Amino acid sequence: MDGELSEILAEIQKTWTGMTDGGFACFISNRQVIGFAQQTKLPKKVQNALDHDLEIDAYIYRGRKWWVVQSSMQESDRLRFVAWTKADEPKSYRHLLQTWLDGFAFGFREQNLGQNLTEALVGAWDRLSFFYEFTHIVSRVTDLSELMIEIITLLENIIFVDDVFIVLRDDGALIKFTASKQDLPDAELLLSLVENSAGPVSMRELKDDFVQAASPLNDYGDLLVARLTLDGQTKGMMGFLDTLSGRFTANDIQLLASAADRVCSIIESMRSRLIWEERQRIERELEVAARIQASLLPDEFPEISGVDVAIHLQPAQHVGGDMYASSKTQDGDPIMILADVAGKGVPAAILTSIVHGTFRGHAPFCNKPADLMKKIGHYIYQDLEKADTFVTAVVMRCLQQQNAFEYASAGHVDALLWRYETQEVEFLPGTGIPLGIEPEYPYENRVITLHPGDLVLVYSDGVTEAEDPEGKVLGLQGLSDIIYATHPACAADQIDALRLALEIHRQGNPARDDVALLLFRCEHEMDAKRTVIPFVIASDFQAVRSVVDLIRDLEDLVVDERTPLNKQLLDDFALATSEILTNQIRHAFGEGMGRIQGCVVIEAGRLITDLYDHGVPIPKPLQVRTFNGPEPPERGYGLMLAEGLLDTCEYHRIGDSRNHWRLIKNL
Amino acid sequence: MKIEIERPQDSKIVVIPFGRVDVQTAPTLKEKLRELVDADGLTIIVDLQEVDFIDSSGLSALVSGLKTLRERGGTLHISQPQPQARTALRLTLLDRVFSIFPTLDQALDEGELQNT
Repeated sequence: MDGELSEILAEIQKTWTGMTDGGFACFISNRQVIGFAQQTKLPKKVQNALDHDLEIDAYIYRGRKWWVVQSSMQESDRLRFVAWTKADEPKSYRHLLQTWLDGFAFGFREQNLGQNLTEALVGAWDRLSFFYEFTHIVSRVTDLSELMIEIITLLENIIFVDDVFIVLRDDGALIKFTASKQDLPDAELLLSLVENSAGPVSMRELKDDFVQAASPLNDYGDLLVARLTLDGQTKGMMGFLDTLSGRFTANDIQLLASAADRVCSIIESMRSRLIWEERQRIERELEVAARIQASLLPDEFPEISGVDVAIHLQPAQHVGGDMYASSKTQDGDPIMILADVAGKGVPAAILTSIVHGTFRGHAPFCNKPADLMKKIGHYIYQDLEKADTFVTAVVMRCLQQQNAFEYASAGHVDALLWRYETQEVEFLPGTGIPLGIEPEYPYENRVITLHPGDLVLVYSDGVTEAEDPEGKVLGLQGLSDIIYATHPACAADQIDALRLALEIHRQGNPARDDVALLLFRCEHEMDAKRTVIPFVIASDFQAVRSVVDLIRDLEDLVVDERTPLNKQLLDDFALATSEILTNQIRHAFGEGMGRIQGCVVIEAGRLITDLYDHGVPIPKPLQVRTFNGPEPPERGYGLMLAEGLLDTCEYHRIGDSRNHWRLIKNL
Repeated sequence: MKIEIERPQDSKIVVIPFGRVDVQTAPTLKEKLRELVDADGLTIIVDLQEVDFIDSSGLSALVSGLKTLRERGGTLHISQPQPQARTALRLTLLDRVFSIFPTLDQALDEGELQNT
């Protein structure tokens, strides 16, 4: 083959692979002259097309899009181009390959490329550069009008016609772009004429209509126009105009069809970019809204002597429908509200602000939670009715003199009460219907006497209804399990444990509802004498390490002179704890996913780990295996270690749902 | 888990695990020991200088390695256990099963059996 011909092929290959990231090969009489490496295995269908002189148009196979193109010229040697791109490249590349191949075939037949590059081949190269430029404009220009002007300028440079135009339909109006800057007459008419066309339409097909409409378009010698479609709808048209009659050839029709294809995909990507920008804007506004909502949370909790308070609010989206506020009653008692507006996101968030304002406005003039609840219900009734929603809420007042708290609940989920004395959970039922249903509903008050170590957890249904990937909810049982295990800890640490437990329970499942947690705990005389560190872990071996770390990190903790914590001691205790945890994970949950919660307690003279799980009970009393003789068993050292390292290692089954391990090391 | 392997002599292999040998990483050590037993009469020395935490799964991996070696006339020694590992070996009575050496050189020289 002529040296220049092979250079042309090399250039085509280079351009194709550069612009598409794909592959290219040329076959002459079944012999591959350039392109794919020998070991490249063509898809069966492609090989078959080569063997049997078939064409392939955009065949997708294993993430690649393939073409087999034959020269449309009659020649003695069969010329074929085979090319592939990534599957998402446009189908219109078919035209490009065809144009190159025809140009190349022409030169190949003439065998005289050096001096007489034919017009066809020059055209092919120009078109190639057009598509190449095209790809680059899109990444460079972000304004749609600017982009359209760049495209018609590019086209004008390669086709040498009197005018190139693009017309876009925008909300009924037409936006026109022309290379000549002259107006395109009768654009409406032209667009209506091509409305249902499949490909480019020429003057020959439109002439009669122009004559009938006495359109100035009839003054042109030739015209080519193609429809621009998006999702099957006509979004506009583009085309060429010339004074010479019969000016446009089959090649021009191909070029226009390809260009129209590209323009459509550009409009599409532009549109998704605009949607994306709009989303970004909304996102920014929501972030501001979230900051505003967070700023409504009081920085400080009411000072209640002998009571430790902590709160956590986490909207499922940027802003949420759960809210909390605190104030003082007429008599000066601390009073709080936790409310949940039905629904979530912005509409719910707006309503929380109204609840917030109403609560703050009326609290200083009320004493009884039920009276305040009724007032709130009265004032927000109309807003809720308009929004067609309702609010559940709990209003709580601390009666410091009586070691009690008084509450009214408007259809809110039952708060949880932990009784230290009996080590049992109770639930505090509602005392009325949700707000927004009856404007003058008479709520009731309930007074609960609290004792040292008791705690109250008020929460929203987003907590108990948190779902794991199988749709199983955390439930009251799950919530009680965590409180049961972490109750000796301070309120803030318990809230952290609850948050972690929710995360573990969801196993990556996104939160579908807002989460609100408000916990207050009556101090206990033991609080000053011990350090309690609660934890919650998923039942997998990797999580055991976090508890080991937690214990080993206690080295820096100074408790008192009776409780010296050194590395050796903590290592031993961490090992014993990890052995029991590993055992729990292996036996309590089988293959399923579970959760283990507990506390590490350091108190005068001893280290304690309490571990709780809700798995199956351990069937037999624990037996520490031991061995004699030189052949040691491969397994079963865990309990030996725990027994050897601890002063006490006890297992209890509590009720019919919990396992409890208590590990004690005396110092 | 990082495990370094040295083979100072044809019949002696030194295995140096790093960090924690626990329920998560012990299977890797167990598998590594099994792979290394490619001939009869080998001695593998597991050097525990860089292990700051070993649990019952880690001990099981060592016992498993010892058994594999014994089947082919070899043995497994331990060198430089840290205090935490020493306690674990003692409580499980495995200090009577393995030969434990205070230094790697002594283990390589097959020095006197040390009970720590």
